[in-house]
Amino acid sequence: MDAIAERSGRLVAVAARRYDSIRAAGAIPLALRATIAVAAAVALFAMSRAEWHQVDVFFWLAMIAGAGAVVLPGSAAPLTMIISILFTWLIHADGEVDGALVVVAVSIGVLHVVCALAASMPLAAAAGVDVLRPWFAPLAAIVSATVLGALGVGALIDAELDGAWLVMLLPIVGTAGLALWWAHPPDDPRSTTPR
Amino acid sequence: MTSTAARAGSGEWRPTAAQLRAATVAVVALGVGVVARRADLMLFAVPFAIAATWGALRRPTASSDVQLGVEAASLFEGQSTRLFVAVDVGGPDIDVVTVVLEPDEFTVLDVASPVLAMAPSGSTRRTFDLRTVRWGKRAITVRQVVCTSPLGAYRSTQGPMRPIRMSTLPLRETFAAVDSIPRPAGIVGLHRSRRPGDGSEFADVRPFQLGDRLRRVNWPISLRTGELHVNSTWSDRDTEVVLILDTEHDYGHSEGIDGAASTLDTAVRATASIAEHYLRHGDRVSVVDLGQRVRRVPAGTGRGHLRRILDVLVAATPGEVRGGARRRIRPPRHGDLVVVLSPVTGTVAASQVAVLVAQGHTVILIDTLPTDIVAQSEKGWAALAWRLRLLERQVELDQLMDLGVPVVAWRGSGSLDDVLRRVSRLSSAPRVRGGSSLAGASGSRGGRR
Repeated sequence: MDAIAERSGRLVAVAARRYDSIRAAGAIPLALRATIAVAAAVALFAMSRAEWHQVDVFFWLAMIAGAGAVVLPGSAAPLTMIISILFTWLIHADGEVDGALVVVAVSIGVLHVVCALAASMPLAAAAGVDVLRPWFAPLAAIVSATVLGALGVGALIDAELDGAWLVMLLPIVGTAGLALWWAHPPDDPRSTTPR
Repeated sequence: MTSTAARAGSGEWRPTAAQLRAATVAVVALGVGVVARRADLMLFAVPFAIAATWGALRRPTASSDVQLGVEAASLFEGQSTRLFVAVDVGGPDIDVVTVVLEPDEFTVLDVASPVLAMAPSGSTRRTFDLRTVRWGKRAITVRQVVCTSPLGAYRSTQGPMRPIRMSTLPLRETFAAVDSIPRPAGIVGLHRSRRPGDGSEFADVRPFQLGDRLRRVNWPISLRTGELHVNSTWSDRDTEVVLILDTEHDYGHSEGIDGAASTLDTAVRATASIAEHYLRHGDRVSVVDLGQRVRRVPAGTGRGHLRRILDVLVAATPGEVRGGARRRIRPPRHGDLVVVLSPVTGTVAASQVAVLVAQGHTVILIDTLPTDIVAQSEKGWAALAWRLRLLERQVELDQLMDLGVPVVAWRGSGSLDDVLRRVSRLSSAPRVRGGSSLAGASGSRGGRR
């Protein structure tokens, strides 16, 4: 009985510490974690609405890892979630490029970027909105490249062109090149300076 | 202005979990998509391929300088100063700089969190209020500086930095006591003595006596009365106040200026207040530590001497008596007022007080142990041992009071008024050799007997 009481006391203490750490959390880190949760939820929801969807171990793994990504964005949880979604898609999806695919791809892209930002500061960090500003450009580039890539791939599939996969890779590479050009415009001296 | 600086980001830039994640997902999605001839899987690779490439291309080479400083390195308890954190990044490839400040237990920062996340564009400076709530040597440092590159791809960690040290002086409350010293010894000082003598403060007009100086003659009254009269003066007092601090033990929990005080808190604050009071009135004050853990401050006067005493008091820490319990402190001059501040639980205080009384000094014992203190451990033998020690202590206090030592509890301003009046009155009374003429002044701590 004493052991149970002691364990329950420890659990209460851990819960109290966790509650204290959440109370001490900064607004920006909390907002980032909320964004991670929303992105993960949107990805899973969009996948679950697909006709081919089946609840399997990868889906459950993705859910658990998504929750882990909210708590520990700098851990392996986001990677686990994304890989689980990939395998679910590989096993069950019919290979069509549709709206669900775009939503899931954009969501996990956003999740990745926000996890990277959230991992750069502790939960209790006092941060201003100015911290977010440098991240808007790459995030916008990633989202727009994903959408453009989906449109390009969809158009290629609909066109039923004969040829190698290289043809389908071209729009992806093109949008990636465009995004990188945006990251390092020609007037930026670093774009010509060898690293 | 005191500051310390460190260069962050000069260490190795390491890829983060985010960069590894981006590269892994891009390779896996692209590889599986090509092998399985699945365009939809290849689309998953797009955001991650861009993120990984973007992050790799913007791998930083620059470093950032972090500087931490305070406007005033010496404060009184409860006072505030300004703390600044300045971050100067050497290039555009650092998106987030996270600075983890580490104040000590009794340093309060006026900021929601000691962890600051900044997006430095060139040079960024943040300023906060910093308040120290307990006397002593305080320190604040930057435990860690973490620089993160765009998209969180690379990270560099640096720290800890050399801490900024501040002195928090224990003077908090204004102490006042009756203008009464048991045995004034000299003629140097600023205020009036109880005894007539050569001084500057007018006392009375009295008939001329042999030895009076001619310049003291009050001619108008002498002419009016037909008899030679002189102005008499009070002698200016010159007594050394010896403050003996007991740092052997520290009981109770210290919560700073706004909370509970430990015995050492009470002793140090009382020492500072008493020293300030007597120095303000022109007396000489010296400080001796029974535990020999802070250096002795020889007798002196003036504001500079007060600062010297406060600077020494901030170093007071509890610990075993250096040199052993048998070590004797240097005996004060005859006539000095000796004030001992102790919880009377150690091995030295009671015996030293008894020795001083036997040497004929006027000793006042300020008991710094709170009346409501409880055993630090309420379980087992520790609580019983503590109760036994308190009983022994009571016996020692009773013995000291039998020797004529007044024992008073520290209650701030006016704590010593009653006992000083009685000690002064009794010290001017005829003394019986070997007797305890001060017995009437003892036992000021009600209910001790």
